[in-house]
Amino acid sequence: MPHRFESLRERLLRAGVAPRHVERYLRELRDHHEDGVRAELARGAPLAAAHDAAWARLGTEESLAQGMLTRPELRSTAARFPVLVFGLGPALTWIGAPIALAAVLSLLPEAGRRAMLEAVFIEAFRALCFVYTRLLPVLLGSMALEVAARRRVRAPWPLVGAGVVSVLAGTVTMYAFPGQLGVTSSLLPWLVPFTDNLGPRDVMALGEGLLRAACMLAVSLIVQRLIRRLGSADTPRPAAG
Amino acid sequence: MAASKTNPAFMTGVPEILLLRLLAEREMYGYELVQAIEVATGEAIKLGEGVVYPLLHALEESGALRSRRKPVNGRTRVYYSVTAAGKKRLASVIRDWDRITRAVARVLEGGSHATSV
Repeated sequence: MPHRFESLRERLLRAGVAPRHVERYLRELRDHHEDGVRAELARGAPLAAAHDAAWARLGTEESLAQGMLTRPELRSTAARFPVLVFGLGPALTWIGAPIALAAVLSLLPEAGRRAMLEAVFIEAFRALCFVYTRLLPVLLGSMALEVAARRRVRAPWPLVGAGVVSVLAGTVTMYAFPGQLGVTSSLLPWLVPFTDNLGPRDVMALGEGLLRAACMLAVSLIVQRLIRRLGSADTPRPAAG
Repeated sequence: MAASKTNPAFMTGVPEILLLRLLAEREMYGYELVQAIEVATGEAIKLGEGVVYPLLHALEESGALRSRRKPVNGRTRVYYSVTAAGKKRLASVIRDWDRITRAVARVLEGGSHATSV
């Protein structure tokens, strides 16, 4: 019996039905099947026959699947907009993070903002830069890959999204010195039109950035695999009822 | 053993009317609701029992129903009940159903039909 629900789960997730609707549906089907078995047993049916009868009353796997698949309102946002959620989501989140931080900092009084440039805060700021340019993109990439895996999304968009945020972040360098903060991008000069004085140093800087991006993408994939492995080790099998 | 199958072509919209009407009387969980439909229709309508849940979820998403988990005889089940918006929706679908069934009845009674020119 659990095997039938497992194959139904996989089919619904692959079709883009939101996981919360899938899990609730399967829970209710199990409850319903249990009630059907009790009713059949109360009529004097043997246990095996009661299970078969209860399953037959639930309907075929095809009808159970179609019942959900014909309801577009039950599809997840990720299934309806995979390019936006997986392809662009990680990069937009990464770009939005400093904007959100700047908005918070703008609420600080002027004295507080000046103090941010004092040496005592420079080390903390450097650490923040490292988190933002190296750790956060890896986290966003692995999250996108894991969310896609849970929804059985097979399209390339999660990998594209993790790749885009890795490239954007890997080619960025932030620096902080007393009284001076800055950010450079080795990718931006190649994207800006009419930039015609790019030399070997720019090529090397871009290459270094892309290599960093490749490493970050690889780490995202490894982290996602670890999350998956830990998740399947910790998740108990659903109990009947 | 089985009653004659209800023609699916005639069933569009029927399950929604039945669910809303019965849940407007009292809250029920899925199995209870399926049994109630069979009893109330004299077994003339037998829904595929499992497919009632997608409709319940869709009605809840649209705000016509609310749900809560409730213990019953040592187990817990998800009970559904109609919201105020659901009652309005029920009134609307009953009006539509009324209009359609009267129109069909007129045709079946042999009302006016086109004469050849």
